[in-house]
Amino acid sequence: MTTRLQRETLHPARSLLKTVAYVLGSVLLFVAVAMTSAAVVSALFAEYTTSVWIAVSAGITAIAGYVTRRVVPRPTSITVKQGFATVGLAWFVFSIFGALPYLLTGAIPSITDAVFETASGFTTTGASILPDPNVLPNGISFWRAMTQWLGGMGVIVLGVAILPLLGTGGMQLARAESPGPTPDRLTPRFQGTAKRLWLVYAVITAIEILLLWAGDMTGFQAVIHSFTTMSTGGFGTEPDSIAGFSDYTKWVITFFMFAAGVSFALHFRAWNKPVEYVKNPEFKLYTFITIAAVVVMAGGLIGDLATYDAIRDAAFNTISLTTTTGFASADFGLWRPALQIMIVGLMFLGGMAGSTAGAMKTFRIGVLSKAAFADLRRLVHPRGVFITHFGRQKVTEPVIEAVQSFFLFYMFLFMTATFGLAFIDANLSEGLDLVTATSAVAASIGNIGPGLGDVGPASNYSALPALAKWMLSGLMIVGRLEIFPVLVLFTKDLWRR
Amino acid sequence: MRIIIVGAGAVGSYLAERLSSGGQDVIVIEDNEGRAAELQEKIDALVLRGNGASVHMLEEAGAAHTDLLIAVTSSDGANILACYTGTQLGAKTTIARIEDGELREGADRLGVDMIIDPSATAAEELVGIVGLGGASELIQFADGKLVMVGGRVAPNAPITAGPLRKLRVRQAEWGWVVAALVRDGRTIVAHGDTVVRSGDHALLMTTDEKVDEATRLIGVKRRHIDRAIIVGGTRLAEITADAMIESGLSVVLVEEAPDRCSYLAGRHPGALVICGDPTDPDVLGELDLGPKDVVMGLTGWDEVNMMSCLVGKASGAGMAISRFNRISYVGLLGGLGIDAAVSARLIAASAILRFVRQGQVEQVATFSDTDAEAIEIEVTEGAMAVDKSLMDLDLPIGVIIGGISRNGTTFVPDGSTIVRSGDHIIFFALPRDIAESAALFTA
Repeated sequence: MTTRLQRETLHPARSLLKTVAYVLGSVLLFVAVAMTSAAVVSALFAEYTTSVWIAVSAGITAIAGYVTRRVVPRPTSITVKQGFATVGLAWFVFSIFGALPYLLTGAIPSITDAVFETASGFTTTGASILPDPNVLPNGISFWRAMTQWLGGMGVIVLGVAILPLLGTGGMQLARAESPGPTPDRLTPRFQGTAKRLWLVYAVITAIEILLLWAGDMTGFQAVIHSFTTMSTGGFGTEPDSIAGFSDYTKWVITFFMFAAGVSFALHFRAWNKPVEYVKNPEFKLYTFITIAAVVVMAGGLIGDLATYDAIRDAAFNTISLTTTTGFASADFGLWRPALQIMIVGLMFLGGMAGSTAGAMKTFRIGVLSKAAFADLRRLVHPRGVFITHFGRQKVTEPVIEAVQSFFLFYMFLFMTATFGLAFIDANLSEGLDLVTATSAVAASIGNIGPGLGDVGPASNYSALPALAKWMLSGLMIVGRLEIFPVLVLFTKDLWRR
Repeated sequence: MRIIIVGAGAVGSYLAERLSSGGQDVIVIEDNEGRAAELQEKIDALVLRGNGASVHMLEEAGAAHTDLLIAVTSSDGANILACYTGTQLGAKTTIARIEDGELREGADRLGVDMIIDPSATAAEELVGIVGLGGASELIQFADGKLVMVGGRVAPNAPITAGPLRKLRVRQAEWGWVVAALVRDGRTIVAHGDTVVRSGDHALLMTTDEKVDEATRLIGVKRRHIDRAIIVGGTRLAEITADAMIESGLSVVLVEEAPDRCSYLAGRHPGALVICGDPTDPDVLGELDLGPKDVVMGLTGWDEVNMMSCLVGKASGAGMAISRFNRISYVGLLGGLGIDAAVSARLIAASAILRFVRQGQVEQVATFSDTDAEAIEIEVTEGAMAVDKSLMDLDLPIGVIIGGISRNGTTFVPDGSTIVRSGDHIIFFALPRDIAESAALFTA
């Protein structure tokens, strides 16, 4: 029996907005704390004006958060669909607050560009409108990386870890925000799981900082790049991404990008028992796909580059794309057309469920292909009974259906958005060319970052018309939240009494 | 507190939901895949799939550092084994659901600390309800000086006359407060503008001398019951019949199957056994039902129980109590012509919940149709609430302070009442607010 405490029956739209406001209030406080850290970094580098303006942004965000938390009473209970919708709405709002430091410091004066950069940050996409991030004040550079680091494991998950955000409701929220079908439980209560996930995330990030610092990066660069590697974000400090750094740095980043594409719950379990990695079927599939893609890519490059260079660039860029990080160690926009087609394909893969990677996720790819194969066998043996397995685990019908409909929505969104983007008349002489439109959409939904053509690694998104930037910002959020939390906002049921 | 629940049937999943929303670390072990998946969707707890009596599963669930293991599968044997294994692995306290009387004997030697038998617990509860004669609750707090009176609000009862704020002014000479209303299965926390409607299940806090006035306020006429008509020949019916006879009532058992009837007649010589269809008005009509009779539908079928209660009420019975298997009917159908709805499983779950809470508080009461609990707690020196008025306390919305007992005097407080250390506070709250509220009063 479930009885719920209700003072009166609220209109669903109102009760939903209340929940959104309450969650946002809490989350904005975290965002404000993160901004303050950027202000401190800025001050340490003696950029006092920048520091003050970042601090002002933090103040505005904190006040907004504090006031909404004070004014809106704690919601009593939230349903699954409300949890999804809350997360969907919340992400749009805090992408706007996150843009304040760019706007107030004047680092990015246009609202469109600032919101694009923030959405790209929180969603760990890494698409940028900046031709040269090197000219940014260090404080702003730090904030860019910070948005990615927060967005990687999820701001709301952080909220659940620290505050008992909404009791049981917190689980519904975190579920909507976590990458993958359902979050893996490490403890009976979700709060404990959220804490452990953030802990593992922070520890691995710290290890990467030390390793990068030992190479040719400055301490500051090491922090920035570690934040954006572990979140599979891809923001950096250099206009040519990682290309200018040493081979050591490239291999370290390659390794950590791969690690960021692994489920963090699995990292936690394997901490004392490394066998857990080998036992995990999704990890095996993820490793297999990664190695296969690297081998094919290296094979395609060997004709044009020296063997070692081909292997290094193939490994770095392939893993960067499959984990949806979006770093580049070479301008893959100049590679052979066949490889470019493969690059667009890789943008759909993503890492494991429960990792910080975007796109479809290995689990879904595995289930989709196995279910399709089972259908094929059904055709051959009409009376045969075929159960889809993933590893030793049976995959139930509802899970398969959810994965299939996710795939359908993902592809549908990809098609319509590509069409929309190509249709938007650019300032360029004619509309966007097909390669640019296709790759920009795939890179945005999949949270990769750089695409091909006009938005390739050697270029950036600044030349796109404003409408296209808004559309892509929206797509990044839709992709980061895995479509449904945003889509549910457009269902009639949510708003009906 | 870490709690392992073995078996996610009606009792297990209800307990898991209540305990996890109350802030405990709950791990559920359930064999049935569908049930396990369904529960995992609903609650913030870890649900493992497997045999909960096995060493392997209990180890995986972390029995070694578990405070409480609750085994509530439908099998007595599995429950005892789970408790035995759990104790061996290091679980501190164990509770087992055991229905077979023979198995119950000596179960403590197998590591079972508390035995719960839903039917026996329900029978006790039924005797209690009949004793109340119309009120649904009479729960004593602070050594009996404060009482929570519950009942279904009658049409035209004085309490339905207007918003509570106005009523309180009119009835100001004696202390009372509406702790909560349960309306159509939903718990409503009353505030000044709330209007009580007839049919609501109202819970009032008052002092012991004012109980009669409180029952009059909700329009409940308390009557003396001297005969129980028990419909059905289930184990619950048998146990209840024995308990009723023991408490001095005369008992009639109505059962449809002739074989079962002769068995019942042999086992319960003190009761009159009638063989017939209990939903047939002629069968109950033959008994000349009157205001001193209670009809109890205790068969295994919700429909039969409900119908025989309605037939009994229509034929003149003073009171009707129906047992429901589907737990959600308890809150939903309670008002429809029957005076009380009970569920053996819900009662068993509540008994376990009280056992879990007892270590932490002075007294706790649970209710059949709301998740909320009434809790008595002693304010300790140095607690956050000490020397503050109730108004200034940051109590979660929906928590009602029903009464305070201080140095032997009791009263119903208002917003300006100052909390002192040593006070016994009785509050009414939903599970998720209990821990937060209790933390305010204890240092």
